[in-house]
Amino acid sequence: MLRAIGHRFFKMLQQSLYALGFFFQVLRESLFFLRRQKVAFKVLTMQIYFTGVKALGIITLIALAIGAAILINGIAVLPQFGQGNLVYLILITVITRELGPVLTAFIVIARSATAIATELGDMVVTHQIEAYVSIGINPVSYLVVPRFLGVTISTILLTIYFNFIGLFAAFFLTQVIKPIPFFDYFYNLFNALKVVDVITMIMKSLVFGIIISITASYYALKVQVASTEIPVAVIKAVGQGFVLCIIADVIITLVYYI
Amino acid sequence: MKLKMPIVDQIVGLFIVIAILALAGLLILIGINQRWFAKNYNFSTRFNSMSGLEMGMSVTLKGFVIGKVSGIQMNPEDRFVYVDFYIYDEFYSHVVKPNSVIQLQTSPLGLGTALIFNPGKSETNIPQPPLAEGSFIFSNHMDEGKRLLSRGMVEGAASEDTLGSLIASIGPILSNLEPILVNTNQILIHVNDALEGSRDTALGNTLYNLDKSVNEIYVALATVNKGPSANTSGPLGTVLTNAASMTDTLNLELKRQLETLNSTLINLEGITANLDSLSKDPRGLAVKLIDPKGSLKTLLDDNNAIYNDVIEMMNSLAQIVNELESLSRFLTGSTPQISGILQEGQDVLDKSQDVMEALINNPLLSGGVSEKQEMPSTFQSTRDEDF
Amino acid sequence: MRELIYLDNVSFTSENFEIIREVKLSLPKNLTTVIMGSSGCGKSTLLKIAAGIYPPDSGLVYLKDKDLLELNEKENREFRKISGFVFQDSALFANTNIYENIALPLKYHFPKLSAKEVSERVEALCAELGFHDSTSLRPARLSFGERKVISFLRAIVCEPEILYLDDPTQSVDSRFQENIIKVIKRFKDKGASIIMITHDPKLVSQIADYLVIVKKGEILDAGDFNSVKQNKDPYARQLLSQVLGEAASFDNDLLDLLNE
Repeated sequence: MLRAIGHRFFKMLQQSLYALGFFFQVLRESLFFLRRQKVAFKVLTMQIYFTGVKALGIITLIALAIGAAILINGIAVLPQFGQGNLVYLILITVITRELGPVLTAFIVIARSATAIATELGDMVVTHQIEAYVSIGINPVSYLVVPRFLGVTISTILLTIYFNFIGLFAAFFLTQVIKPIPFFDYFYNLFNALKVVDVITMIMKSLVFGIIISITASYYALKVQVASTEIPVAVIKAVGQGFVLCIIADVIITLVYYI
Repeated sequence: MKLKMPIVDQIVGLFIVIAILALAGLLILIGINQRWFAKNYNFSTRFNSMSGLEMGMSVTLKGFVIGKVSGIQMNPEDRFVYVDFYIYDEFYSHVVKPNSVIQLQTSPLGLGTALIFNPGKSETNIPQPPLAEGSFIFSNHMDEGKRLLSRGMVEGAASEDTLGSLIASIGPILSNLEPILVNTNQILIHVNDALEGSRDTALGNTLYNLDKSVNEIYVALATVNKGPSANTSGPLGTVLTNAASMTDTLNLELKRQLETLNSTLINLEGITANLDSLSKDPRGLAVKLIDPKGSLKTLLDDNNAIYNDVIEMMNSLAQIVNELESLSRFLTGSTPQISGILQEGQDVLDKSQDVMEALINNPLLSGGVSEKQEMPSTFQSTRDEDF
Repeated sequence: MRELIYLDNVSFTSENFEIIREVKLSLPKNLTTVIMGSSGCGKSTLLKIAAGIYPPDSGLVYLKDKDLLELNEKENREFRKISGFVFQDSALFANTNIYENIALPLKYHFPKLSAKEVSERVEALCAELGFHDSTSLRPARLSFGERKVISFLRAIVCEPEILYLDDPTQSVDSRFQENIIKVIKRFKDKGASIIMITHDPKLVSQIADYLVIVKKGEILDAGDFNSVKQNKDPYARQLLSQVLGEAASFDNDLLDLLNE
């Protein structure tokens, strides 16, 4: 029993260290990416295209729905307590600081972590990774780094879009139902919006993007021989991605409040 | 799926550029709104306590935000609270004049506090240059500030909060009323005493002396009559008799006047006692006034019945005061200050009447406070403080 | 005989099964080595270890006295630039088209080449192999044999000096087979070092200089083709029987030529 626990612990520790080593290798390769990976640039562009541009639709929908819901409910309920101005704080807390980055991360996990895990897992099984090695291309710098950068950049950009849609487009949607003076809305919004909110947002989306891409590629590259390992890798990439994103979110939020 | 690579490149490029531009625009808008690029002029002041003060609190002028509190420190040695604040540059040169006073005002209704900047007035009419940046500005917690405020050396020192100022003025009015009523009371006691014949009051003495001199004149007359002619029908005698009868009439008239006065005074005393108990606790009155279920609501909710009573009472009080005034005119010669005091009393009563009228006319209070609260606009105008 | 690669006590385990067991093997430079063995004996693994694709669990792989797996980045790049590898299952990059598959090593190792030069080079090679299908297709559209051809083209596009070939003619139709053999011969004539797994008797008999016989993860025999073909082990004899028949006829052809 104790031995089993000890064994498990050491295995976990070993795996975590391995994952950490993988992460640092990706980071190191990322530093050299721009300088020497002309060929991988295309992979990066495609990754941003698929993760970022293609996800804009669903991000727009979610951001619009949440922004409008907060605005309409806020306008209806909050003035009853004489706290009409709180609606801006709630908008910013929910969209900029909390739900915006997290929901964007979830969308990216659902769309791109699965895609990355499947694609890279398949590459391992069909020996494409070995083919890259045989050509002399480092699979980490050619395959993982563009995905890492692409997903991270896309997550940040999508979070920015989420914010703009949630804060601005939702306002115009709300105008149809419950008009608010344009100038008042934006004046109060910009007054309530602090730079630290924007920094928190970017920090979160950055960390989420890193977590998503690293977990997805890590589990994909752990696939060895069988195509049946790929779904397992995808499940792990998604599950682990969710868990790590939430933990990171809690930590960053705590840092924000300390 | 087939996509030509250059198109993908363009789309991705657009995707990135729009996001970056949007973010940059957002930061610039935040910056403009939060005045990163505008110059602020820093000043400091001192308060007795930090209560009601907070970092980032707005400094207002006529309700308009013209600056912010940038720092609050307590000096452990003198235990004063030192506050740093800044004034926006577009206001600085027009507002920050010598004699300016910064006022920490707490709303009596618990609606928070406001930091009000009162620009100083020039003693001469020559426009003065603004105070240098970093100057110390007196606050209303400091004697200098209080003096400037009371001497009217600042602009707009009056409170802008109508209801607050109204309620705030009730206390002082009532406390003013009290000594006047006490004074009136005392005068009336004096008059009473005088009428009862006690001698140790000025009026008593006068009357007593008058009586005494009349008697002495009588004695003198008698002596004179018993003199060489012993004839009371002499010219002097006639004069003296006339004088005596005149004094008698005077005495009688005076007595009658004072008797009517006495009865009104008993009324007045009752009212005075009532007002007295009220005026002893002006704060209590204010609290009762705003208590939604308290006397004010009853006062205002019963089709003005009580209000009418109060008005009636006020009217009778006014009448009494008028009577007192007529009496005082009668007594002007001996106690001239009574008139002044009574005039003051009348003023005070007029003022109280105004207050009552203002209260009944105030839309915020009429019909109770809690049931249907007037909703403030959700979207505060540009003047409101941010949170 | 100059040495190209030396495997020192190499073992490789996968899923608790020891595929390669304490192999000591020296592979010659500028010669063609053929690795033979029955299916599942570990030939492919051995080839990948020798190419530095699989790191062995124990033992070392030397390339000119240097540990192949510890090459620094520049050395590794140089080594990959002069080597090509054909995988048993082709291992084409599924997410790019055929052209990109072939051109990738060229673009990677010769970044200064213009797009036109690259495409000229790719087209020339396709023509040499007789591949006339559209190069804009994805590899998944191709037959297994065609994929093998593309894999071969990808391996030789940089004109390597070392060729690792894992059954290059497997399931390739006869027309392509001939072309592939022709190209391999061209490389052999150029003095390239070729390490090849094949069961094609024709190929073995025509180009093998050096023969390695693998049995259950171990080297049964390795050496000059003519000496190894004398091996009396029944396993070896069975493997060699076909090859030797071909070789005999090849020898006869030569005699015929000489007689003419």
